[in-house]
Amino acid sequence: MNINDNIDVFLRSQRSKTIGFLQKRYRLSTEDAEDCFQEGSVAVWRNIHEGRLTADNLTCSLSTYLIQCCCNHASHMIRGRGRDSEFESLEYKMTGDGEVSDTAVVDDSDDGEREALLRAMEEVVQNMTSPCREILWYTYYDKLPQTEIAQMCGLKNADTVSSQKVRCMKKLKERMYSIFNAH
Amino acid sequence: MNKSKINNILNSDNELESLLSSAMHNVGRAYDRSLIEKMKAIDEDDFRAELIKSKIGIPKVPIWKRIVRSNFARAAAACIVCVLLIWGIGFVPFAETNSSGYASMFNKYYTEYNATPFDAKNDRLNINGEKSTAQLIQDASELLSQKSRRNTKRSIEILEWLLDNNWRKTSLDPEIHWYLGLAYLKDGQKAKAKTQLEIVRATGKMHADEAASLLKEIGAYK
Repeated sequence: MNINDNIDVFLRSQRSKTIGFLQKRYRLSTEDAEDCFQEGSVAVWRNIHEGRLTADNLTCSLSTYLIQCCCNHASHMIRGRGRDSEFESLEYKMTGDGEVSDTAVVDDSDDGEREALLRAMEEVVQNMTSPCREILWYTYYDKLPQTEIAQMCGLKNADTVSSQKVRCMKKLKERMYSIFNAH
Repeated sequence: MNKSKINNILNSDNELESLLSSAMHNVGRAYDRSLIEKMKAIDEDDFRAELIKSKIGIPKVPIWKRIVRSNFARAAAACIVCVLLIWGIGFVPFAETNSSGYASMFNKYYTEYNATPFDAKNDRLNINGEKSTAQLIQDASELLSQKSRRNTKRSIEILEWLLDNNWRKTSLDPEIHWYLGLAYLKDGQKAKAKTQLEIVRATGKMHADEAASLLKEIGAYK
């Protein structure tokens, strides 16, 4: 995930990923997948403007929300019922557990080491490279099931995601060690 | 800062995952919040303009790549491979699959060997109660007439064994050398075939003329 809050950068980073995912999952042509992305993006914008989507009621990342909107549009397109009015009123639903649990949030106690680790980790997660970036963000932020992550990242299956995740966690650990040993 | 405490946290997978989850939650929330605010600030036309802008710069997939990736191309490639396999394995006789001219030379000179009772007379192998030399030459010759490369190899083995074990040289020696020469030829082993045929020609007995003429053809064939 590119941590640059610029709409253009966000859309650019989402476009190819989402189109690839739609083509794979729904066997859409490039043009149809493009249309779905276009309509999905506009639906996200409308939901924000109409107050249906706010930062507070978002239960997953905006990236996943956008992909899901595009998927909804693709489903409607496939069933031949892809009317805009229906699409815009769709409630966002995650296929997995979209909630970020409160227990996962580290409480801001006077635990200095944990706080330092958290700040370092925040830096690290912003600068991760592909495919670890996608795999770890989808796993730990969006809480998506591995089968879905496999489709989104263009990986073979859930086992591949699992093994990649282990490798990424190892890299992450090494990165954290290197930060704290350098201090 | 307590380094051992930090190491303890990093060493625990659960702690690390919890930390990662928290960091992502903090960073992701801030990022999404800022993005939502930005989207709120622009109108639909501007947003659509951003969408169009994001489309530019994505390289179009070249036509040849689209064709290669298409299911039709894959099915066509699979069909071609199947046809080639069937053609290569089953329906073309061995001699024709061997594109070298040696195969056609073999076909021109090869005649099946028929053992006669006279051949077996005084044959040491026959006396020992095993197959006679003549019978073994006949077996080898029969194997040579078949398409399979494995049978050609088997035929070579029999004839080489005969040469090694037929210590009491018999009148059948030229036959062994002749068929061994043909077998090597069919197998594409030109040098070995020539050696055997030279021996046959040198004996001046049976197959000597054929060996001489075959040697000429081999020499002429590049």
